[in-house]
This record gives sequence, C-alpha cells and structure tokens, in this order.
Amino acid sequence: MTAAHQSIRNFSIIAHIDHGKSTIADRLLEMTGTVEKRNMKEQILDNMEIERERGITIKSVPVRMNYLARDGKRYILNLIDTPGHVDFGYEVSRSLAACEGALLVVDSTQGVQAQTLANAYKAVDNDLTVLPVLNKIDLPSAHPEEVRHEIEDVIGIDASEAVCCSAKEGTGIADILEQIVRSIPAPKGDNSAPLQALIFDAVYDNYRGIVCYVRLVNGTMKAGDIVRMMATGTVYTIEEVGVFSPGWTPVELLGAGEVGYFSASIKTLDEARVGDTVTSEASPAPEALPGYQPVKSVVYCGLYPVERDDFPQLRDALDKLKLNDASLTYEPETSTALGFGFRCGFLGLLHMDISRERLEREFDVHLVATAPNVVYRVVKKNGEVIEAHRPTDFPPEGEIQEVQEPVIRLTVYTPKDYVGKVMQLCQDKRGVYLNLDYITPERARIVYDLPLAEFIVEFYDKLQSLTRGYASLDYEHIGFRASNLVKVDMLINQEAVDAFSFICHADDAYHRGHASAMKLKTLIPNQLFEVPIQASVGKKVIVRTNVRALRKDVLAKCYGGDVSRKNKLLEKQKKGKERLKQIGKVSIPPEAFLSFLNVNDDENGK
Amino acid sequence: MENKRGVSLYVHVPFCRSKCPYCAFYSFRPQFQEMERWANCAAKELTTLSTTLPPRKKLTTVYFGGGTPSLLSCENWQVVLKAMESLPRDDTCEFTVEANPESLTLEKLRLWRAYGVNRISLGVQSLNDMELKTLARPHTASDALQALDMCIKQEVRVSADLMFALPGQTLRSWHNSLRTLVHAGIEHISIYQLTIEPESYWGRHTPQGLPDGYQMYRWAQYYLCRRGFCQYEIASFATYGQESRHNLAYWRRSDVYAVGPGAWGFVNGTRFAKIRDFSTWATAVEQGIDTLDYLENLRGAREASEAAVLALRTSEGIDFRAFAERYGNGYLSQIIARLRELPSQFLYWKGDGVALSARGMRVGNAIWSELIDLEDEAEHE
Repeated sequence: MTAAHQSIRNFSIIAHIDHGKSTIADRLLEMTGTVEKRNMKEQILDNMEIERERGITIKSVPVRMNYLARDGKRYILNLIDTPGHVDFGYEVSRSLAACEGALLVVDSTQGVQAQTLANAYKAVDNDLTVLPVLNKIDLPSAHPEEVRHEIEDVIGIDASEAVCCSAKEGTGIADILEQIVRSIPAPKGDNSAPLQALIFDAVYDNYRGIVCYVRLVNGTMKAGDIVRMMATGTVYTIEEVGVFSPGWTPVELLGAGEVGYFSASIKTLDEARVGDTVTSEASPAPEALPGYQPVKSVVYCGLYPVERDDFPQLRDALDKLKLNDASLTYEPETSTALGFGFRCGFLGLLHMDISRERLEREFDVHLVATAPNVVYRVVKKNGEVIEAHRPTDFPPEGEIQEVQEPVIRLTVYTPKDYVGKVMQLCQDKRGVYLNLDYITPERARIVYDLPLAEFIVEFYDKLQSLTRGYASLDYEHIGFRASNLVKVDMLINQEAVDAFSFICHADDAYHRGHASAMKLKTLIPNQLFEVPIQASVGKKVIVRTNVRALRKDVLAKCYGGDVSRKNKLLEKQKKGKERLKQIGKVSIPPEAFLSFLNVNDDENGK
Repeated sequence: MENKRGVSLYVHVPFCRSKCPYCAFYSFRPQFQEMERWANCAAKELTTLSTTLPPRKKLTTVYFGGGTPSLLSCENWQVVLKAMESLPRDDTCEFTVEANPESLTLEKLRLWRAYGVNRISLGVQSLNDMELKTLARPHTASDALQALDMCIKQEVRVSADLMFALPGQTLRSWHNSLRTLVHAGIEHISIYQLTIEPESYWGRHTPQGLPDGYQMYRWAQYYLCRRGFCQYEIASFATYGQESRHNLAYWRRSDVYAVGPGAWGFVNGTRFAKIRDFSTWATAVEQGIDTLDYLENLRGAREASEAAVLALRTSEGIDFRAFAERYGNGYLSQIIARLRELPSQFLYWKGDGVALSARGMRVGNAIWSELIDLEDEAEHE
C-alpha cells in the first residue's frame, strides 16, 4: 500500500460575492511565485471576459502552487476556484468534494452574508476543514472582532484563529498559506487501490476534445490507461494527464490525492459529466464516489434570432456553447410570432443571463429572449404527469387535476430596519413564512418558502431597491408544490396567440391579463376595424379591451408627379406589410411581438 | 388605340419668393434673368410640343403650376402665352394658373384673361394670420380675400388651397377659413393636411403639437357638403360643374404633356419627368437637346393597381366596364375581391362601379395599400 502524498493540500475559496475571493487567489498565486509578478493581471482565475466584468466566477479554475513553508518543507497546494452563485450549486458541491479544506473569506466590513453561510454549510457538509479569513481589514469601517464573533455565532465554526488580511495590500497572505499547510489535512487515499477519480469540471479544447478536471481519490492515472465513466458507462483511452501550474502542464502520472486533468478524445460534455467517477476498465472500483446528479434545468426561456435568417447561426452558437457548458439544454421550437428558435433550459437566472450574453458576445448572434418561466408539473385527471416547459405544453383546462410549481427556500439577510419591507415583498410574492431571527442585534435572517416563478420575476431587483442594496439572499430548491395556477390566453380578434399566453396564479390572472392586454393595445396598430383584445382563462374571458378602428390616415394631395411618388410610398407600405404577421385578419408588425416578448426591451417599462 | 379621354398640358414654373418650411417641391428664389430665361425656354418647349402633338389633338386642359407662376412678370407671361397660341386648344379648354395672393395683380389677371386663362388656383392656405405666419407665407388673410375678390370680379373660376392640421390650428379657426371662403363665393376648395416631408425644413426641425387633423377633415366633409359642395376627390370639393378637369385627368390616367423643369407628364401609358435642375433644363432646351429625365412604364398588375388607387381617390370610383376594358377583367376581379374583404362602411357599391364612402376617404391609404400587390394576370390586350 502506497500512501498518498503527504505534501499535498487541496482547498478552495468560498465567499459571498465581492468579499474578495478572487483577489485573495491572486495574492496566493503571486506569493508562491506561481505567476510571475509581471504576468499578473487582476483576478487571474476569472479569465472569461464576462467574469471579470461582473466580478463573478462562472467556471471552476484549478491551479497548482508550489510552496516552501516555514517548516522548510515543500508543499503542493491545489486551489480550486469555484463559482459562488447558487445557480451553480451542484458544480460548487463537486468542486468542494474534491478538496479537504476551504478558505471562508468574509469581508470584515460587511460580516456574514447569505452566500457566506450557504457556502460555509456546503463546505461543512463535504467534511472540509473551514478556515475563516477576515478580509479588507485595511478599510476604516472594518470591524474584524465583531465579524469574528458573528462567524462563531451564526455559522458555528471556530474563528479564533481566523487570519486578518487585506488582499488589496497583501497583508496576512503569508499567514494564510501557513495555515493551509498546517490546518488542512493531507489527502487520504491509496495509490494501489482501484482508480476512483471525481470529475469536478470539464472544458472543451479544440485540440484535445473534452478535458476533464479530476481529483484522484484512489489509484493512479497515466496516458494509455483505459478508463470507464461510471455513470455513463463509456470507455476511453487516456491520451494525456497533467496538472494546472497554471495552464495545462502534462505529467507522467497522477497519484491518489492529486488534482489534475486528463484528455481522452472525448467529444462532448454529455460523455464527461461533472460529478461522475472515472475508474479503471481493467480493475474497476466497486462503487462510484457519492453525490452524482444529472443536470436539471430550473428556468426556461425561448431564444430566437432577431433576423429570421440567422437561425442556423443561433443553432451553431448553441452547439458551441454547449461544448463548454453541459448544464445548458435546448430544443428547437417554433412560435407563430418569432419563427424558429430554441427552448433553452438553465440552472437559474444568472446562468440564463450569462448564457444569453455569451451567445451575443462570443458568437455574435442577436437574440430575442422571451420572459423566463419555470417548469410546471401538471397532473392530469387520467393520472398522467406532464412537465410543462412553456404555456403551450399545458393540456386543456378540463383535463387538469392539479398543477405543481417549483418552490425555493429563500433566506434573506437584512439590516433590521428593512425586515418589514422584506417580509411584505415575500408575502406579495406568495411566500410562506418560515422563520425570522436576529443574528446580531442589527441584522435579521428571514426564511420563506417562495414559488420559483415569483422569484425569477424581478424579485432580486425589488429586494435590492427596498433595502438599498443591504440585503443578501440565498436559496435552495425544495421541490414541487401544488398551487392554484392557471394558463391565461391572450386573444386578438377572438384568436388565441400562443406567443402571448402565460401561466400565473389564479389570483394574479386578472391584473396580469389586464397589463398584457393594455400593452398589446399600445403595440397593435389601428386596423380598418375594431380589434378586441381579450385575456381568458379556459373559456372564460377575464379582460377585454379594444384597439380602436383606424379613423383617418394622412391625406395628401396627389397630382402629376405625385402619382409616381405616391405609388412608391404605397409599394413601400406593401413591402412593410409582407413582414407583418397575420393573426386572423389583424396585421401585426414583428416589432410589436418583439417588444412584448423581449425581456431586454422591458427595462424602461419597469 | 385612340382613346376618348382628353389631352392635357402641365407647365411648371419653378420659382418662389421664399421657400416655405413645409415644402419639399422643386422651387427656388429666382434671379431676374432666370425668369426671362425660363420664359424663353418654356416658349421654345411649347413650340416644339406643337410640332410633335398628334394631328387633330386639341388640348382640353392646361395648368400652369409651381412654384409660384404669379411671380413671373407680365413680360415673361407674354412670351409664354404667345407660344401657347401655337397649341390647338379645345373651345371648352380649362386653363388654370396657380397664383399666390401676394403676387397676383389685376394687370396679370387681365393679361391671362386675354390669352384664355379661365381658372385661378389661389394658394390661400389659411385665413388666419397666425397660421399664415407659422407657415411663413408672405401674405395675410385680407390679401387672400382681396385676391379672391379680384378673380371673381374678373369672372374667372377660382379655387382655393387650404391646409389643415397646422401647428396651433383649432377646429374653430379651420371652420372660420372654410366659412369665409364659402361666403366669398368660392366654388372649388382643395384641402390638404400638413405633412412633414423629410426633405423640407420642418422635416429637419419638426414643430411640436401637431393636431392629427381627424376632426378638421371630418368637419370639412360635413360642412362643405351642406353648402352645396360635393367631395369629388379625397382632397377636393367643388360645386356642381366646378370640378378641376385637369386634376381629374391625372386620376383618370389621361394624357398629360409636360413643359418646364421638373414637370411630370403621362402620355400613352408612360409617365415621365423633365430635367429637374433649372439651368440644366434651360441649357438643354437652348441647345435643342431632349429634356426627358425619367421614364416609367407600368404594365400588368402594377398598372392596374395604380389605376384602381387613383380611381378610388375620386367619387367616380372604379367604373367596372371601363376598367375591365382598359386593364383587364382579371385585375378587376382581384380588386373587387379585395375590396369585399373590407368593412362595408368604407365603400359605396354602385352596381356598375365602386367608390370610397366619406368614411372610406378618411382611411384611403389603408384601403389602397390593400390593392397594391395584385397578382399578375396573363397578358391582356
């Protein structure tokens, strides 16, 4: 039996957004000489443009550092930078599962925030040694001692040895490194046991195909080995193994406890799923590592090209994005209003937002994105259960026994002055109150169960404006719950238009139907006849308004030369008309559909 | 094929004292010599036309438009009107000259009368001084009424142009303009809406708060028809027998010859325009070079569409038999089928024809655009 390398430390950094996670990572890389100072740029691990801009981490980026500790020994430190956002909760949990320890970075001016707690619990759940770090102590408003107590009170971990540091100024970084070496246990594991390697991330590379990021728990891995993915059952011959120092650096062999990568001509991310266990084909491990889950989309929206001819480009762009993002799902759909496009599934709102932006930015396709919706579960009277990804998936009203919607457990941290407002917001959004407690005399923690559908519509923005940005939130999915949901159809001149229908709670049907009808009224140009616009639930019309008939258009005189000009004007009108969508006898310009459906256009309407 | 329709002539005078802020037509403030040059060149074009006009053809209408034809001096006019004598005119020829109140003089009016001018189209635009000022017209309401009075005393037919949906215009001031004209004894009124042309001054500096004009147009339809006028076209009202035969020629697609820079004509199904730039045109005339600048020959579906749209401007509307004869039965059927799709209150079916109702005239554009994309039929003889 060969023991795993005693000089290895595998850890990640967890923090609430903006508490300084990426800056601390930068300092660690600098201090260990992993990246030379002259090559250093800010937030080196967030190398996607969008990550830097938004100050968030989307992809896990592992990096290997060599560190000469004060005890005179050399250590290998593997840092796995993880996304912090709840959308990527599963990826985070897999990255954490690849580590023995985690730095919990807390902003000493702000204290414990929602994601601090959520991430700390995830680390504790994965049996990690959690090392609190108090950041930003250089700021005048820092109150490290209070925050130290907060960490002990709220999270319940010992913070007496928490290092005070300022990543900006570089103070305390050496102490952090020492603490990592001293307090985080070396990986256990057996080089001679059958191979068990956890895939905690995978990326696409033009030359290597899929490159899997793995943590070896037991056994070894080298080029030429034949391995099997335990969840998918596919078998590959390893072509290259290596470590991140940083960047892909090939090595001869990866041993138990090490973090590294391998490539094996894997073509798609579907074959190399995050959370899967890699084992040896010749002497397989008796069981897979725990914790694997298939990807589950939570939020859906329709993505359509602005120019209809761009559909193939959109398809290519999605295909390419999918190479790098296994959690993206999409299937083609058609809409009377928008033509050909895709129904896309995402892990959450942030994921949706980012994917949309990457499609536009990295692949240069202009998109119309329909308002996001959640997955509904419809139980029919005949016992059949349908997953509805869009309103048109709903069966006729008479066949529905029950509709269930996804619910989240929402935790909001807020200064005590805003407790009333936050609770009011949660109530308005159909939340069910669970708990309220004060983690310090000044700050409260509020817990609600909230329909996801309500959460994805403006909840975060409203919360931030109600609390002037002082609130932080976190949530977890807690499954489906029956609710009195209805499908509202919008009828234009007595014809239901699928693109405009939506699902909402029965109590909201009237006012949302009314709002939609009013918006349509302003968007539909006057026709030669009066056009009724109605909102209906089943057969019952709940809202009606009319687009008045055109009563006069511009009357210009028309003599000699004007005839030809007039003709051209009318022909131009006719060209314009070809683009119009006919809903029965009503012609609607595509712009009207766009501004009704495109959530991007909605900003000014809020 | 000889047709029974009349023969018209349009002469374009490209001069204006000043450029109105809403105008996008070709006109400019002339130098003295330019007016003289225009007169000589127009006279030459008219003489040339007299040699090319088919034999036995007599002009049934003549129209001097602009621009501001009344800006020309009597000397200029004499040159042109003399040249007009070389063209054979029908006994009942309608001979119109456009005039603006500020440049119409008794002397010019008498001269015109002497040469057979029998109709004046007066650019009144409004009888409200504020509105005239907004339009930057160089005349006042009382100038306009004096000019009108002068025409009536000289026993020429007279028509007034009025504009509606002006900035600051009210229904009351609009009514006042209409009523004053009616009381002054006018028998033909053309009304048109202020439209902001992108190429005009207002196209670049659009005034705020323009009324949509619905009420004003409706009021004209209501009021004038109760004062003995008939709305014989979208923008034209006349008492019995006072319709502009020249304008009807355009809407009936009769032959119109053209003289002058930027003038449009239509002969044997071909629409054409003369060179627009004044000095280029004048040089061409002086050197005996052809002044044609643009030709358009609509055939098939596009021709039928145009004919239907033009016919539906007028209260005559589409005469089924004549239309089928000229453009083909197939197109007529297509047009009728499309019109039948429209709400019935917009149309007036007469058995042997169809026209827009008063309501239909208000939404003419929307109705015509239904007729613009006819399917091509097999060749029609």
